[in-house]
Amino acid sequence: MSAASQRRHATLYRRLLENMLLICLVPLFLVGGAAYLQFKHYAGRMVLDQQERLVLNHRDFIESYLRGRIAELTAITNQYTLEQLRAGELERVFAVIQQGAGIYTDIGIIDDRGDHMKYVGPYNLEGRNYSGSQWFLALKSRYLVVSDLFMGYRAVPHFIIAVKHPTPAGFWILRASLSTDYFSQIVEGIRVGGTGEAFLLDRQGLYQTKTLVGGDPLQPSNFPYLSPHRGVRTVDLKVGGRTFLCSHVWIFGDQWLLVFRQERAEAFAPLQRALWTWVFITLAALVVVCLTTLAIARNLVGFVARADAEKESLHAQLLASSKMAAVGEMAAGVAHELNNPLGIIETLRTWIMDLVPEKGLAHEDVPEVIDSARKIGDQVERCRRITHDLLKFSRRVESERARTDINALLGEMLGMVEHRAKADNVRFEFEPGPLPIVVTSPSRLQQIVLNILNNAVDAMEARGGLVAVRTWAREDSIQISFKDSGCGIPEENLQRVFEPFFTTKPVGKGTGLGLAVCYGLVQQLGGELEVQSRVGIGTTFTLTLPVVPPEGGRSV
Amino acid sequence: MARARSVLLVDDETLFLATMAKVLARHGLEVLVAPDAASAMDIMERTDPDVVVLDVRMPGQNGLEALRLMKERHPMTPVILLTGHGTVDDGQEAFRSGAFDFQTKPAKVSKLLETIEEAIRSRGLVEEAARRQPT
Repeated sequence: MSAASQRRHATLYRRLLENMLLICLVPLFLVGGAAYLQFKHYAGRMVLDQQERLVLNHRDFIESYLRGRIAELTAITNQYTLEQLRAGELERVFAVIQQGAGIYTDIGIIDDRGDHMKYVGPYNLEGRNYSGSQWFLALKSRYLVVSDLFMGYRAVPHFIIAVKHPTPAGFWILRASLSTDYFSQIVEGIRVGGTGEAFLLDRQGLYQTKTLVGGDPLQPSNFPYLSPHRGVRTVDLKVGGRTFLCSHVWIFGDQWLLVFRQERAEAFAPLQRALWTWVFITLAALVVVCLTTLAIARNLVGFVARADAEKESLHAQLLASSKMAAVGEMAAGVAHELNNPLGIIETLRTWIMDLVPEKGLAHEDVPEVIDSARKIGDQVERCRRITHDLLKFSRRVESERARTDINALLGEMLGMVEHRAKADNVRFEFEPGPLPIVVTSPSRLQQIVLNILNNAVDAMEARGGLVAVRTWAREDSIQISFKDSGCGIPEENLQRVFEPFFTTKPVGKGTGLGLAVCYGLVQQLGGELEVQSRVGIGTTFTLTLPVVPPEGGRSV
Repeated sequence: MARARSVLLVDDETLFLATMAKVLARHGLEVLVAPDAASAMDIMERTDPDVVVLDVRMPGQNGLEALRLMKERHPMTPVILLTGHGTVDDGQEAFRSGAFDFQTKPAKVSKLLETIEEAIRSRGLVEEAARRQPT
């Protein structure tokens, strides 16, 4: 294939690759990018929703726990008289409400002056006065107080629940302190992963329960979002160089802020894993698209290259056959026009030869004139040969087809040429293979075979040699090979042997039309003629003929 | 044989006609010439030559058409076709139309003479046979 074609195919391959990659990759990136953003948004939202739902559920749990304790203490004040409790019922009741779980640390009764009248618990608090305590002052206007975490007389952080019971003379108070450890366990009960924890803050931001990262109870938390608000809020917060996702909600009548926090990386780890999977799938798709595109582009360009090669070959054949046709037309005209004057020359020559001896020429000149006239005759004969070859070459008339025994026909032809060949010391070897009867034009085939055999004998140049003729059958055609041990045809001439007027024979020996005539005749018979040659070794002509000529083919 | 040995040459090339007429006359033939098919038919009506030598390609009526007409009107007269465009198929066509022989230009005069002699001899034999078997 030409260098220009190769360049064109390389350009086609590059453009095809660029365009196909563009067409495939742009939608891939658009769809993939949009899916990535959507997924990230919704999955992120899901993580937040899940955390917020967890916090709200936990708030409800803590609140119902506290309300249970309040209901418990209120029931005691309603069911027992002050006297009963002081007389010893308090110890019994305390044992019952502890349920063996240590929910409370202690319990006591305080009169309306703030004096501790009765105490059941591990500390020595009986007789203490609480009239100055915040919770006692608050009870003046309310019947129930749940305190923030404070130290009090026992110097240990604790919560108290105080229930006021009115009497005709005034009131008394049942006060119980909640076990800090037990309450902390309730609050911390929703540990998630390695870093997720819940804790309570009071309105001043002091820790009310224990934490993993941060501080101990009653230490300041520095939590910046302490303003009252409705519902749950979630923010990012840096603690000790790590970013936490913090969801917080006010609980128990805005008394405490319930905070749940988890390190952001841990909270979003499943999302991150899903995103890595997405990246992997996208890269795999990218690789598949690139490889497929490469393969398709290569196949397409290969297909185009094959089609182009076929087109180039067809173009060359078309050029050759139109050249043959043009030469044929011209040859017929020239040959016919030449034959008439040649006829006249021949007749005039005959006239001269008839006249010369009688017209009194000098005696010694007569043989010269006759000799010249004879030579004119030789040249006319030579011209006649050329014009007749030309006419054969241009022949377009119909010839009858017949069922032909190719081996028999070849045998006859070899017999005919053998006589001349013997003089040139050329031997023939005929290896007929089993052949079907072929429908073809015997006279055309005779012409073809005769031309090829004469050429083979000429190729030996009187040195002598061997011409091997072989026949064999193929699927729906037969083949005849003519292999000579002659001088061979140089590579540069091999392409031209079927061109009209191409000859390497000495001037006057060949018209350069023999093989061109053969080529044309073989085409008319619907066959093919191929030549292979090596200089000094010999030439092989291979003739392929269809067993039945194609319908609508060229006329024979 | 009472009949003179006469040849009618038909060709549009006048130089060919003139030269060939001289050559044939020298070999003892009486030569009549016609430059086209129509004149040839006239001459045949008047003189009935022993043999006709007819060119195939001529202006007006061509040789093959003239041949068919001659064979129709003068079936006994042998016609030798002469052409510059000689092919086997043209020859086959000529023989099918009743030509005595078919020769290509440039024809060897000696060969043409032989053929003319042969044609005259053949005509004599045919006529002899016809006379012996009167219808």
